[in-house]
Amino acid sequence: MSTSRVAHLVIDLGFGDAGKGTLTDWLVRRHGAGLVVRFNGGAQAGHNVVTDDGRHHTFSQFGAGTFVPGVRTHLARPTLLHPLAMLVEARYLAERGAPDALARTTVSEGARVITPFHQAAGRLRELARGEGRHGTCGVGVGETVRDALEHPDDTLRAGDLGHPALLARKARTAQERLRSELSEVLRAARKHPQAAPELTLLDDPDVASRWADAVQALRPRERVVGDDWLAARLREGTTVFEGAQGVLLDEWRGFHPHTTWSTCTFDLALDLLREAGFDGTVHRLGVLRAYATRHGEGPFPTEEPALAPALPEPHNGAAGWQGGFRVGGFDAVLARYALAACGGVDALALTHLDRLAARWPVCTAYRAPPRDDEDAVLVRDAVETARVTALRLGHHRDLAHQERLTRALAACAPLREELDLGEPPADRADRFVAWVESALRVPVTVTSHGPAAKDKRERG
Amino acid sequence: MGYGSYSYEAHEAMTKARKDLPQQEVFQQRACHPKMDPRGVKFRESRDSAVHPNSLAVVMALDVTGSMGNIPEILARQTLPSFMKDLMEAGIPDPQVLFMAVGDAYMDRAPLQAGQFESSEQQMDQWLTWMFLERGGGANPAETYELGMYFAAEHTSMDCYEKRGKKGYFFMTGDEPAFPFVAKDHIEGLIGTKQPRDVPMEEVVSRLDKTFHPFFLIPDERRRGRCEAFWRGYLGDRVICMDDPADTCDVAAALVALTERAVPSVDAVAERLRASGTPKERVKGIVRALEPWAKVLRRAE
Repeated sequence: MSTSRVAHLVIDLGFGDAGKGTLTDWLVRRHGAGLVVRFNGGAQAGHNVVTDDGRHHTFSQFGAGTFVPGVRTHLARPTLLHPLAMLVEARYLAERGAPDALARTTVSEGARVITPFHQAAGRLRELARGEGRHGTCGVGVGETVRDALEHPDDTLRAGDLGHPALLARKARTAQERLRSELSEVLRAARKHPQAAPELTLLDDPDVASRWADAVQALRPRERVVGDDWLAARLREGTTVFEGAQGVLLDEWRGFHPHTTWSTCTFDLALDLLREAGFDGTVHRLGVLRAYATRHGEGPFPTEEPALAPALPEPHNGAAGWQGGFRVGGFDAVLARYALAACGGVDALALTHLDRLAARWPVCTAYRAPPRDDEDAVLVRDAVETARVTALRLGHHRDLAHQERLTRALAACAPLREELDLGEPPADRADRFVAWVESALRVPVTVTSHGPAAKDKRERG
Repeated sequence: MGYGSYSYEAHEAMTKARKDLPQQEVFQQRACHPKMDPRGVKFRESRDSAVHPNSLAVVMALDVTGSMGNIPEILARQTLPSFMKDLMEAGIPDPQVLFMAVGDAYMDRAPLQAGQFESSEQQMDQWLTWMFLERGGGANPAETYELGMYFAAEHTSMDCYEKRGKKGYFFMTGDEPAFPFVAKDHIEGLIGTKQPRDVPMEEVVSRLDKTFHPFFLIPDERRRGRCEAFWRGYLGDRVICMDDPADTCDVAAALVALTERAVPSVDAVAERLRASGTPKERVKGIVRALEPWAKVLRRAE
């Protein structure tokens, strides 16, 4: 057993989808980590990993190190657990050569639990918004967080899962609570053709006990642990903390209201390490793609739909609830904002470098006509005042500031540049990485040139 | 980020109709469900209520051993969910149905499972999914049907009988003989009550007959040879031989209706079935199964 205690913290500096999954898989292999800790978000994550022998899985609740035999996953207290989706995912993993994924997984007793009712309520809420949809994964994360904040005493937590009678009672209470709280929403959504199965879940009085019974297949009494479990494991060697979503979607630092109900910075991972009394080395890694991407609604200054045909996206479809997959040029303004919002990184990982073309669109500033009400949020060039060089970081948890940012971004057009990365294609990555390091003033220590661990290169 | 595909599948089973789902998704029990465990049960009660003032208790006990093949599953998936409706359509206004599962106490992990009496389809359906289809049984030539009959006789309390002197109905499906006595060890081990001695089958049947009309339903011709003679010895005309196990609920509902005089004749049963769209061949099979019992009732008039 290694005596060096290291925690690698991986977060996404964009709107998600940068490649945290494949990097987590690589970090686990590279450093012989025995444990992957998920510390934010939950069942809405979709972290793609392709093994060297070609097996693919989109990790949602299991840590992206699960393909490596023996590597454990821990879902820490701040995460949200979708018990039945976890069972479904375990079945998929078994089909892909990891039959013991569930046996290698633990969940904090404090993790919030997503019920069928929260999932249905979240979807119905989105259906009721009609044209004004916010963007959602349809998994019930937002609804569960909202409900937990408003009814802390009635919140279902992983610690309840092993007590079927109590669980069924709490779930039924949640069903009744959501039905009465959402009566307006239900009325508005009822006409929608997609509403029927969701309404059935909320209306059927037997679902709560059926669900409580079905989740017993998770063997919650073996799976659910107190938080001291993590403290002990962290002392044993190398751990990878795998973040979910992206800093630009952070509940407090993202562009309100197009955010996720989750803290996507290093904060929660650092809190867990502090609570565990961790005294080893902490390495903070931020992940960025060679170009910008975004799922669904919300601001996206460098969006360029014309790029899409050249940037195939095998694992991120437009199907489901979250809306289309959007692409655009590399945005150094947003990357710098994300770096500031998460308190900085020790190093960057750059992914999707195999997609680089000879001419590559990037953006280091926006153009926006000067307006008084935006001065609080946009940093402008002293001479050329239409030129926006940065986004101002507001006070933490100042959603009014975040909302102003969202409005201001809508008026920003990218000052598009094209890097000449030239020929041959093999040399483009080095030129691009050098440009990113100088534009963001952060070292790039890992580059990714394809979906598998063998496609990763370590630098410096 | 943003991937909900596992969650789409996760709750689908909770909204999808039973008949569309694969067996392992509907019947997830891999052991006796705690609510169906007969241990420590004093009485399963069938009571009148404001909505159902004339409750009539009906027990449907399913042989869930391997020799029955996929019959228990077909029954639980396709046939039994509408049993309540079948009874009501047959002219029984306030049926209360309890499901039991029986196996082989010498071989199985959950040889006796007992639900509760229910008057709503939804509640009844829940008990069906809680049932553990063990597919056990084994090398011995019998199943412990006698335990199910003992439980029904000794551990039910019914308003139909206690308030109105009307017997309930007990149906056992199966294809093998029972053992000649209820072993006191089984009673103690599974139900939890101490008995000074084994209880002979004759005693169990005569006790059951006090509060129930007991019937043994043999699912098809192929299965008659193994058990018909044995059961005739105990139940006589109340051994019913069917053509097709899919007819179980229609046959049972008609047996209740005929015995209760809720319908005048087998012809009336056939007419109702045809009117509700039951295929001609099936109606013929049901009539054939019912005719012997209908003759007994006519003789008794």
